[in-house]
Amino acid sequence: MTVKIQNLALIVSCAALTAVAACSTTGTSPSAPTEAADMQGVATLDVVVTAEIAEGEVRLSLFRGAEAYDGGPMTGGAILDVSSGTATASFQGLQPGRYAIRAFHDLNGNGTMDTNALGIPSEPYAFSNNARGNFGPAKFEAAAFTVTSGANTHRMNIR
Amino acid sequence: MNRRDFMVSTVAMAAMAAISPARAQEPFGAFGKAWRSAPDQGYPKRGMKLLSGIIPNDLSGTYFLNGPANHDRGGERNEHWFDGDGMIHAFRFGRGTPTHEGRFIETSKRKAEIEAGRFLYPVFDTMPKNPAPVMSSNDVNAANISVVERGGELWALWEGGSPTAINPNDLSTKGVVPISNDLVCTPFSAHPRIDRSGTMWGYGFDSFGGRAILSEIAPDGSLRRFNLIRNLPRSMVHDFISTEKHLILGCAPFWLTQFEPMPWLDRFRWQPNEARVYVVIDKETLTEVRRYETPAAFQFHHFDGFEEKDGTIRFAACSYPDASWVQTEARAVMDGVPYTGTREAHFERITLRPDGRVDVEADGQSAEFPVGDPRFVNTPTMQWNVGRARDEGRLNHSLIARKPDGEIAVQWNGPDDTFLGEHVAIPRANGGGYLIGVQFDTTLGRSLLSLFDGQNVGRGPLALWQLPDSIPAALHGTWVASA
Repeated sequence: MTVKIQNLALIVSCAALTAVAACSTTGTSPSAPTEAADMQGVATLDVVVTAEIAEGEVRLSLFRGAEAYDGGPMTGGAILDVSSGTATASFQGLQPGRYAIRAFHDLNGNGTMDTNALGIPSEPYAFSNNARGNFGPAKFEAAAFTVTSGANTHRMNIR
Repeated sequence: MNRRDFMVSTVAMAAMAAISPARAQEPFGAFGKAWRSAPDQGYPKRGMKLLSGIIPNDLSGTYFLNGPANHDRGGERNEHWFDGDGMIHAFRFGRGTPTHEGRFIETSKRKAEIEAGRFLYPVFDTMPKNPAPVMSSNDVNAANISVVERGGELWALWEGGSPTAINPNDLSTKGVVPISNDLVCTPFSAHPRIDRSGTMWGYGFDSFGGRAILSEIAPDGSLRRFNLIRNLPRSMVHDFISTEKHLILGCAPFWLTQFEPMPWLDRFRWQPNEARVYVVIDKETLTEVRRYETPAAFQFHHFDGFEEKDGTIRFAACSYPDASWVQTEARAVMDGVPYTGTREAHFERITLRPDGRVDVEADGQSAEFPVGDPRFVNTPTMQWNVGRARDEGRLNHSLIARKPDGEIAVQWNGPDDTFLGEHVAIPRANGGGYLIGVQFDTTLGRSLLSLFDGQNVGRGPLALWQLPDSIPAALHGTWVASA
């Protein structure tokens, strides 16, 4: 008989949405310093993004601290050509601290993260640490990573 | 409340206890053969053995059937009938011996799990060990409930995500059908309604948000329009009803109340003191026009509906007293335990009147898998269902023809050990039609295919074939006539 039922679909659901929406803001230049260097130390950060679909652009936004991540200003942004499958965004002049990233894969090049009629992202999206959300974007605590003075590298996947 | 609190069937309880603590890897006995996994390579095309009767010479086309067919991988076994990967079966009729073949739908879920050698994703009622992240409904789409023809392709339908396109000639998988940018990865019911013009009326139910996407889809598979309606009960809604002018969503009081990660079925709780709500939607605007409240009962399926001149809407439901069948009995079959009659669905005639009154009348007869002749959709006409002669019977072994008013016209009772699946209508050129479907011989563990005269089901099968293999119990199918 029948069955089933499942809207498992929505498991993922609305989850990501609002959050990633922040990424829709087009990023600034990948290497532009966005904050004055802290005299206590200056950091650089390379974010290496691996895209399952090797085409189009990935747009990512970098946030320092939970408040910024949850709706405040981004520290920096990047638009990455991922036609080779992997691309790197380099940020310089960062204050050491806890950072997190929201990203989406702009497959159709319209500059925004597309959603379906239920508001669920219909383009791939990701958070730093490859963190996942539950009915919403990944929490800052799950996506956060530490940037220390000097050179830092963070790797993330988008699918 | 834990799901096991719902385990009210003593038969099921005894069986579960017997195998405690670990679930058996293979169901027991001949009945359990219907819940074994099909071979990964599927079933090659082979002739079916005619056991009795004759093959009508005007039978030319293919009966396509979908159902969960893989229940085991990497030492884990699914908990529920509705968890398994979908397989499309084709029963082809034309010149020569009728044939059967079956092929798994190559969903991304299935491909990933074969590569991993284990189950990766949460499904209807099973959470695998160390589940993989779910990023979209495509990751968990089992495509395992029904199949319809659209634009020269088959669409294998699940319920929580997009259709999957299948080549009807070799049953190969073409890929996910996004339908449109707005509908991509949204839920899409396994039970769209197709009207006499060939237009498909679909819906996708968002139980998390109490929302539904109503859609109108052309015969070529393109989306004509859709609308999102809100403020619906957070119910599990498996099918809907159509009339000439309206679509009706039946929202049983089986509500999604659990939001943390878990199998789909576990998210729902039965609400015995809440109403079952029928929401009437205008086909012209795809907006809600009226709601009716009826006593609590759970449905997977409704019969086709029609509308009278004064706006009165009439249809029938296959109503379960509550949700315990899907929570308990459809799990017990995975251990080879047949479900008992008392919690089966029963026929219920429902009348929605334009002044807001609603009548619900039950006749006490078991009823599931309602079907109609596609030429007479939305008109008062004969419809059919499977059922059983006695509630204490353990299997659906009856095929029942019902008059336009719902009264039983004819009932055929098969042997007690026969388990009848859905039988779909095959229109005949000169009027009338056949019914075709699979039955399972639970004594010998054989899968059979039966063909009935829809106007005279009482005489029993016109023809009965044995399949080359015993196939897993399937769900819904469709007949596609030869071009």
